[in-house]
Amino acid sequence: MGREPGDLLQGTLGLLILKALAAEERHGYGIVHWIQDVTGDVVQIEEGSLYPALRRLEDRAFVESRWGLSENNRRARFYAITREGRQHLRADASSWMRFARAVICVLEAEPSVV
Amino acid sequence: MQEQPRWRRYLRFWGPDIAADVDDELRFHLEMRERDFLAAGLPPAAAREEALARFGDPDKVARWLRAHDTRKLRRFKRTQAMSDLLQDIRYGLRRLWKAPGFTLAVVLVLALGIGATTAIFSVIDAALLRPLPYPEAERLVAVYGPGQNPFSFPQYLDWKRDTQVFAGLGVYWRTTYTLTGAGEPEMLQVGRMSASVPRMLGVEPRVGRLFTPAEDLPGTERVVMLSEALWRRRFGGDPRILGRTLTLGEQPYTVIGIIPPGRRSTVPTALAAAQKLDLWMNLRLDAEKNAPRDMQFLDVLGRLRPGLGLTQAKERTVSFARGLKEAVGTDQDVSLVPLERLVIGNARPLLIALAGAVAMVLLIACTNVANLLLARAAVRRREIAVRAALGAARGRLVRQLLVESLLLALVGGGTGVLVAWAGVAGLRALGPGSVPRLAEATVDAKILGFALALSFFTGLLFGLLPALRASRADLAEVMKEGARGTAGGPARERLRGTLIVAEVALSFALLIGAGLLLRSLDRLLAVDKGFDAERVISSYLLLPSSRYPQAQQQAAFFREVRERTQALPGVQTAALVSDIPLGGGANGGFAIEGREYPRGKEPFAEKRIASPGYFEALRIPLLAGRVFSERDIASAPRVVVVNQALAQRYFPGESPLGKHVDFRWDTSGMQEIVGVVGNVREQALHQPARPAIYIPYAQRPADWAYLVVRTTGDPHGIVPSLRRVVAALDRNMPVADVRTLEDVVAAGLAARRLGMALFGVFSVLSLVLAALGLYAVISYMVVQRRQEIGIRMALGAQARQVMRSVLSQGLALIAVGVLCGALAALWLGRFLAGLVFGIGTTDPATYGVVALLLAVTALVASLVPALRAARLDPASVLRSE
Repeated sequence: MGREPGDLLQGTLGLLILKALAAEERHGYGIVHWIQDVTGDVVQIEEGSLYPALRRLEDRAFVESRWGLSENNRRARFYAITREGRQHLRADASSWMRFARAVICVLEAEPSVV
Repeated sequence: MQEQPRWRRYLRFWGPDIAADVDDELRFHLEMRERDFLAAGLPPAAAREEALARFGDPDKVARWLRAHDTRKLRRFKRTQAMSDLLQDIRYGLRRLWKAPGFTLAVVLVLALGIGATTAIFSVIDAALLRPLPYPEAERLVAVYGPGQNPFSFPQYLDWKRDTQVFAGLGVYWRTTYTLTGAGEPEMLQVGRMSASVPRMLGVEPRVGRLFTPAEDLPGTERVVMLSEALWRRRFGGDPRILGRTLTLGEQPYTVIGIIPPGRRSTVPTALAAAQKLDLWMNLRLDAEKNAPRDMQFLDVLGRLRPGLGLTQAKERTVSFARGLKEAVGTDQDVSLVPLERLVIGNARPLLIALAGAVAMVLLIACTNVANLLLARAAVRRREIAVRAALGAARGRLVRQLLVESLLLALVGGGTGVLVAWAGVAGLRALGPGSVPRLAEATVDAKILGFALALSFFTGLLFGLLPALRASRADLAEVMKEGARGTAGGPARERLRGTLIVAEVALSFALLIGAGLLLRSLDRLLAVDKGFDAERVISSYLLLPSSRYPQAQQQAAFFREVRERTQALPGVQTAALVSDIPLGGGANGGFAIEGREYPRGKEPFAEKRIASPGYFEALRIPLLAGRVFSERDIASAPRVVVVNQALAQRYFPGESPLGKHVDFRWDTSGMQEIVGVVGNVREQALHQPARPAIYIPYAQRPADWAYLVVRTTGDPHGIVPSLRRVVAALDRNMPVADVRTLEDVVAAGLAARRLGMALFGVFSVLSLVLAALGLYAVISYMVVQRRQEIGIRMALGAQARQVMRSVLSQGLALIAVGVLCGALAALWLGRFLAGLVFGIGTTDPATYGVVALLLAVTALVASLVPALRAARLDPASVLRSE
């Protein structure tokens, strides 16, 4: 297999997906939509790469899926986070936060560049 | 319940079509995105384009997802199948463990069936399937001269010139030589052979070398190769044996090699397929090449030219024979018999019959087990129906039951391998000389594979029907039945009845086979052999021609031996003969004075040289004239005695006494027939006597003789004094091949006895199994009909009536089974045609006895349940309702 869709953001994308599912189960488009809403459309992911990422999460038993009906009564595949997924999200999110805080600290250090 | 992996849950909703699902999911995404853009005010074309741009390459993503999902589904199916199977196995083992009686019965029956089949298969494998242990054995043929006779030396030399048929041609014959000069004199089994024979058989000397083609030629050195057994036994494994000189038949021979033991060292002669040789001696054709053309006693072994098929080879021999006939004048047709067929000989029909018989035993075992499983399934119907009602798929239930039968079959098969192992050991001990290559039969990897495959096959065979039937159970019906306290409807009863009928039929056919063989053996034993073997012992004496070169010396030695033996206490009659009965011997064409026969139609007879007292010793009856007396000496008028067969064939309606005959290659002049004796089976028990001519030893001396002695007591007791008599006359003369004639008779029956014994064991086994099956079915019927019987008795039915009704059920099954079995046996009888002797394969007596036997067995098997039914206490039955 060559370069897979989603390679770029792989780790981060997984984290975002798990977070998107933390509140309720969603279909793929719902996940994209939620991320878009939350970030004010700042984070634009390549939407195609979402699905391989979902499959990988599913393989690791962080999410599970079922076919259901969407809000406009169409057949859609819904994803929900599992107990393992939540644990993983918790651990991953806190390390991400630590990392992000560290990056911010670095960037805000004198002399300021922003 | 075990926790399921999470991913299993969604798979229940997983559509069967992965590609469609992937497409649906991605399309939904794109269309939602497009809808949102439209709602945001973009024109339709732009909305679609923007949606695609955001998504990336949908085809590529779809491809990735499809590949991923397919892989996952496949993995999932595999895992699930494995875990289901393991679960089934665990469940099955638990269930079998909880029913030890049932499990033990089934395993025992299967072990007997599979074990017997495996044992017979290993014998067949050794005899028929495994190739002969010679290099390119398929190209080796035995070559026979005209009329399936052995070759003569001139014929062999003629055929040596052929270039179109054989890549190699070898000659050999078995003979005996006396080894002297190194300890006790000993008679050795010797193969004289051309240099090509050991090479064709792929023999490698342990030390030394093989013969060279030059050593086939007249006037070359006398050389021998020793068998390793002889080398060790006689020479203590002396490493300096090569080059030593041995004295054989008073002549010096140089040892050139040692032949290691092994299958290849067994020269496959038609006369002695498995007799090992002590010594291998070079051909060194001297005087023999001028031997007469009808002195035929050579075995010829040929290797066909590469790529030449048997048919083609036969065609070419015909044209070569035509050329020879023009040159030589006599009939030159030869026949080619593949070596394999020669070694198997006439054991093939027996082996095929045994294979058929053992297959039937296995079928009966399967039927029996199927019956047991059906009975068990009846008990489990409720459990199965409940499981089905609770959502277990039918396929899963069938598989569960099949796994159980396969487990039973495998355990049965494993035990069966032990049975087979013991069986093969027993067969090898029981029947040496009865089936060719029996000693090679072992339970090896191939046989184990066979047993395993057989176990699987039988597991499926006896498990499938009950499994399918049980899984079809209808919950409501079962529960209703359960409430009434019965189990199994008429269909089930019919099925079990059918199985019993099949068992009885198979058992009947097997019993017929055993009966036919038993009666054949009986007939063979009762056959008029023409002589009385009781208390007669024979031994073989061979005079070295160097010390007894003259006919008078030979005659004198043998006369002396006979007279001294006759004088021993415990000896009734002592006599000499050139060949004892039932073993074949010399034969040839003879002339009758005053008659002309066309070429190829000359009279033909067995030729035996006998001393006075021979006919008395063997109690061969004198029918006319007189037997030999002490006055028939060399100088007296030449006389012969003929048998009744010769008198009837060549002198029908007239007395042969006073007529004159002469063997054509025994140019001793015409001899007068002075007596006619009864027919003796000279070839084999089942072969009617051929015409035979007996010549007195004194008038036609030979350098060998069988000393036959009728004793007053135990014939073996006389042997030490016999040896003393011979040693007193010649210290260097061994007494060889000491056997009672009763042993000779028994050896000729070995194969039949083995076949009979096995058929007997198989048929008794089948009878017991059928009886048990019948007993189980009838008992079961009685249990089912308890209430009905109770009510009937309460209403006044007599115990006798109840018994009769139960018995008639059993007898009806048997009657149908016997009928089917008789039809099967009539058809199968043809396979026994080659083994049956003295009766037809449809022998009515056998059929009658077997039918009666089965009827009695059936009666006994049904009697116990019938009595139980008759003793039912109606009050307690109705109360238990």
